Amino acid sequence: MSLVFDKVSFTYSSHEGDVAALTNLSLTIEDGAFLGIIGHTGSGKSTLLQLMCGLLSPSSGRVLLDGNDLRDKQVRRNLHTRVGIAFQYPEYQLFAPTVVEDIGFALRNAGFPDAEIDTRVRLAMQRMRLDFERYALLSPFELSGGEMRRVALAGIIAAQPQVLVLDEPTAGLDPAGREELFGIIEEFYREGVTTVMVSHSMNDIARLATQVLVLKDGLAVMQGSPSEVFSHAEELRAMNLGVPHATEFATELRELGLPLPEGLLTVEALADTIAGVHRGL
Amino acid sequence: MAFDIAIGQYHHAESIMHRLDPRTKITLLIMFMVTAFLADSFPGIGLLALFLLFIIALCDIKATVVLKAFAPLSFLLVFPLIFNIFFIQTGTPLFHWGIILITDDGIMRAFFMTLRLLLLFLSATILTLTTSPIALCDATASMLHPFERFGVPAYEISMMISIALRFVPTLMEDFDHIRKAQQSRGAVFDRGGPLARIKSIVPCLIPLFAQSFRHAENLALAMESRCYHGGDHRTHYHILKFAPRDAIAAVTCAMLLIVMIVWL
Repeated sequence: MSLVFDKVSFTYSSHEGDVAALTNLSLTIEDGAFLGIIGHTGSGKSTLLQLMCGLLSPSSGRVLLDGNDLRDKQVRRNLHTRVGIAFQYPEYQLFAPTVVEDIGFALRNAGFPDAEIDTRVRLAMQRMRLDFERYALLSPFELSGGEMRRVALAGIIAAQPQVLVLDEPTAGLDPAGREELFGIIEEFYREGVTTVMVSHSMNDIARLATQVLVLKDGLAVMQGSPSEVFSHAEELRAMNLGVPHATEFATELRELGLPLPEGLLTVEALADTIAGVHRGL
Repeated sequence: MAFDIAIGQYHHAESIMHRLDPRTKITLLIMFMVTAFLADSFPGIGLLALFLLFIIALCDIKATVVLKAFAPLSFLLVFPLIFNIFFIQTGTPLFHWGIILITDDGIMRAFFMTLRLLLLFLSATILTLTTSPIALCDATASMLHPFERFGVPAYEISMMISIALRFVPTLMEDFDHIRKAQQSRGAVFDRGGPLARIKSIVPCLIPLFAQSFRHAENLALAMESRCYHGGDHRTHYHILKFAPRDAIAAVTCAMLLIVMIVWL
């Protein structure tokens, strides 16, 4: 499913008057794309995500899901089965007495028959590396932080959304947990799920993103392919954002005289290129 | 934010009422309330109302702000109005239909009670509008201090109040996040009968409880790691001090209220 933002602005009123959280944003996320969003707290990221899943409606402009305006009531009906969103620390939304009931919440809300719910919950658990026999009847509150995170995400993917919106999905996990979760996200993306991910880690963004959006004070300051965006290292650093480690390292090596091309984003790509250069010598 | 609760909100301004010691204000509020209960005639209540208007004028707060802070409570005024009109059966009947009997006594009484309640609410609103929650807590602690020898945990009470107040905005923000997260899983809160609506809020309340336990645990840990220790030996950054204006305010009010009680 494709998502298009057409000159979207969002303002909210506070004690100090109207505040613009997002200004005139145009953005196209093609079906099957992976959008990485970078920006500091208060840059409008969270507003953008909420606009994507219909929790907020734009003050002006349109948000289109496969060409249909999200303000349309028909389009919004059971939107959560098409666009799944995981907010930061999604484990804080767990509430049901058992893991299976919590994972099935979105499906029950959408009115799926019991048999279908059971099948989808089992599938979601399997995909999130949660053993059904072991976890199904446990209380979500008995689990470890990492397990709770996976249960919460299972509750989102159980509805089998074609668009997955993730706000810092790996925040607060240990390195092994991050790697595992990132692997799972990659699986979904490879299967064609349109993915939007907010992350503070440029390395994570560089690994999968097909397009990158940099937000600052509600404005899209940069937009494009990862190699385009990360080629503006100076500007990114000026915003305290930085570039992926591999890109940083490649720049240093280039300054030392190693003939490396621009646009090296991942450690793997950098290693291969260096090996190639070495062999060529 | 989804919730904008103005009850008990502090409104900053530089007025004599803001500068008064919170203990003076609490004492005067109690005196005012007692007098409002003792006053049993329209002239008495009227004079109290004038006095309160004078105080409001001293606060340097816009009337609209006072009204906004007071508005959520105003529905409580409806009950004494209705009950007194319909249930007081003495005096001259004005209207009679079936079992409904409305008398002039009932109407007088209804207005009197409503006016009295209005004065009580308004005076309390003024205290919270002109006194920051922290000042109120410090004042409570200081005023309860003499009762400590009788086993009243004054310090703990005021600490509890101030922590509770501090977490109100945090929990409201948490609730907002959780509500949105459940909405994004297809939860609907504004459909169906009252029972369905109450049930639909459960997926928000349980995470909110869990979250508040997390906050409590974190706060306890943070306090302990800084060697927090309650009780007598703690010093305060803001030390409450009575000023001449407190004496003036207290004497003026006391005289007025005594006059009221004695003559009206």
